[in-house]
Amino acid sequence: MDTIDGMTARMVPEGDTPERKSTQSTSPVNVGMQDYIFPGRGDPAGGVETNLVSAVVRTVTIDRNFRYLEDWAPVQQYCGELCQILRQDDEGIDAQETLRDSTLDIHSRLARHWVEENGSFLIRGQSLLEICRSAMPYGDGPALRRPFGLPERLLDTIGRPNRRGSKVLATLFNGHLGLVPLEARRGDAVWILKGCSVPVVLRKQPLDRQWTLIGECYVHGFMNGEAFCEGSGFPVTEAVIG
Amino acid sequence: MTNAPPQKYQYKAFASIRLLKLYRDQAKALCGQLQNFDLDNGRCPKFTTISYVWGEAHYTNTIQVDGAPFPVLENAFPLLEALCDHECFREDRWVWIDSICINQDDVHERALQVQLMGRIYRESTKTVIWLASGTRQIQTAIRHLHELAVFHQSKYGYLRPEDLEHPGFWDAITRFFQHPWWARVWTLQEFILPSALRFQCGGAWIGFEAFNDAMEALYNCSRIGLGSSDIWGVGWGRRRVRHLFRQPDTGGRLSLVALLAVTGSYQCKDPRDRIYSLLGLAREEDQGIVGQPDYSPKNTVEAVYTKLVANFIKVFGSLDIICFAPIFTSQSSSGQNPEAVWPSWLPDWRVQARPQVVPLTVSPPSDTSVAFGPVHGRRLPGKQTSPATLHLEHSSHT
Repeated sequence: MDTIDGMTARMVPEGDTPERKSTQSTSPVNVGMQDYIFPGRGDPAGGVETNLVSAVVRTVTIDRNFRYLEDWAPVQQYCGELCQILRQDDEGIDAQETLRDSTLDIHSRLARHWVEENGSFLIRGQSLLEICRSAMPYGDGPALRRPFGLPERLLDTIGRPNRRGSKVLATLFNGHLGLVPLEARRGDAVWILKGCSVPVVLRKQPLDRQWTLIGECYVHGFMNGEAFCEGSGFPVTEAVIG
Repeated sequence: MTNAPPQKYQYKAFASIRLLKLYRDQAKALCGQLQNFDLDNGRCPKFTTISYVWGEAHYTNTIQVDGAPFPVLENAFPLLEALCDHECFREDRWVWIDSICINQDDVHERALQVQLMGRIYRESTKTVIWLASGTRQIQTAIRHLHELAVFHQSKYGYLRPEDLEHPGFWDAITRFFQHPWWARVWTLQEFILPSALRFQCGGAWIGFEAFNDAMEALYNCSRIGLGSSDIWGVGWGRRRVRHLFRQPDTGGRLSLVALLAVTGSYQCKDPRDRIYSLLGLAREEDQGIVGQPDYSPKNTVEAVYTKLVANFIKVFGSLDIICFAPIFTSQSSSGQNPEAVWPSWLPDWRVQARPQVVPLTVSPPSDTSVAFGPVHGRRLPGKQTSPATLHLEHSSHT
């Protein structure tokens, strides 16, 4: 359905370097020269998705809109938490340094670090930092006592050390957002296989007509069969996976 | 009269087991008495089962069983002594321990008893998990786990760093979870099936409920940067499988593929046992796609694993199982000699893969997934349809 064009780095503690830096997408949609059009008719209703921050949050937390996911992501609250994590960063003047570190636990600091490190990563013409900063606070005041667990969820999805199954945020050539295996590369293809609950990343073998399975992935807006809806415009073809 | 052919006579399977009664003779030497019982006739006494690691086949000790000398495994002897002398053992003196209660020289008997194993553990009053080696540190760990459990019960919140300033606290906890018992795949059902459990090391022990609270406390520690799930994750995973298994709506059975993923870091001598050892916990449809265990040499590991994929796709009409292959693969992503490598869709269950909180999106991060770590987020009623997940519709928070 699409190809991987840009990938962020994995979440790592301050001072560590991820095994791979982010790769910027160069496709017209992601550098902002073209509007993103959602081709399906399912999830982000109306065709053009405007609320990018919730799309990013839903992607990195693998929120599948509770079709398979009982343990769904409270997106609005997550956005509030994101806002809080970054706001504390903005106020990070010396006098508040100790306060900041005592109110922000180790997981929140990891999450903040990840946003900063990948801040210039372009998604549909906007940088990741801009997008995350547009998150609205949830509820009042600074006293969100970590009730929702966005940082832990991020640690689960993009924060695991380099083991099989680690994921990173990716932009696809046509502007779709995905969470793809760490082993994926720019140019790998994203397929939706008939009979598979989730999209997968495949890599074309140079010598034969076979594809190699790189791993399953999340593609925002395509987790509930939208690609098979009439009018999605995706070609239906066969692939031999070796 | 009907024309239906008369039903062929069905033999009722024997459900006989041998139990061991332990006592000390006048010279305080350990003695035993073996007696046969039938699990079906209601005359079987209450008994305790043991879950332990056999270790090397060293028979360094001998006890008197029914007046005759009986060699006992090096790993089993201290556990028999500790059990015999333990206060909780005063009333129920009967024990089922495989190395003594099964005639190990009788291949036929062994095969029959292995089939009864699930029932034996399920019907015992309690199971003692014997963690013998590395004794002092494990005893210290058990003490710390009790402290954590008390702490969790009283405050029900975060631990403070200064609460955990015992010297060697994390070393002891690490040793506890590094005991080979945790990694042995056959011990999984011995942990899942019994109604009551306790971990014991020498005279120190901790029951399952306290262990459960201690795990919650360890999780809270990790949230403030103390310890990490790398240390205790294996315990968390078992605890979750036990919890899921005991939900009324699972019918006491779990998805085989989910179990395989959960036990990704477990070890077994025969790689085919990665699958066969889990059949006792798996759903009937999963047992069906595996069939009878076949240990003949021509039934290769690759054949067993390939058959699982092929039958999974055929029976469930789902490709979800191939999503496990990139996690269970010995290939590096840079690519190796392609001839020596299995197809990219075939999970190699021999590979040690630590279970992760989000190993896959086919098994979403919820109580019902194959995930092993703490679950973050909120719950809404939903429906799980992927056959690769532990099929469950409602369950309380673990």
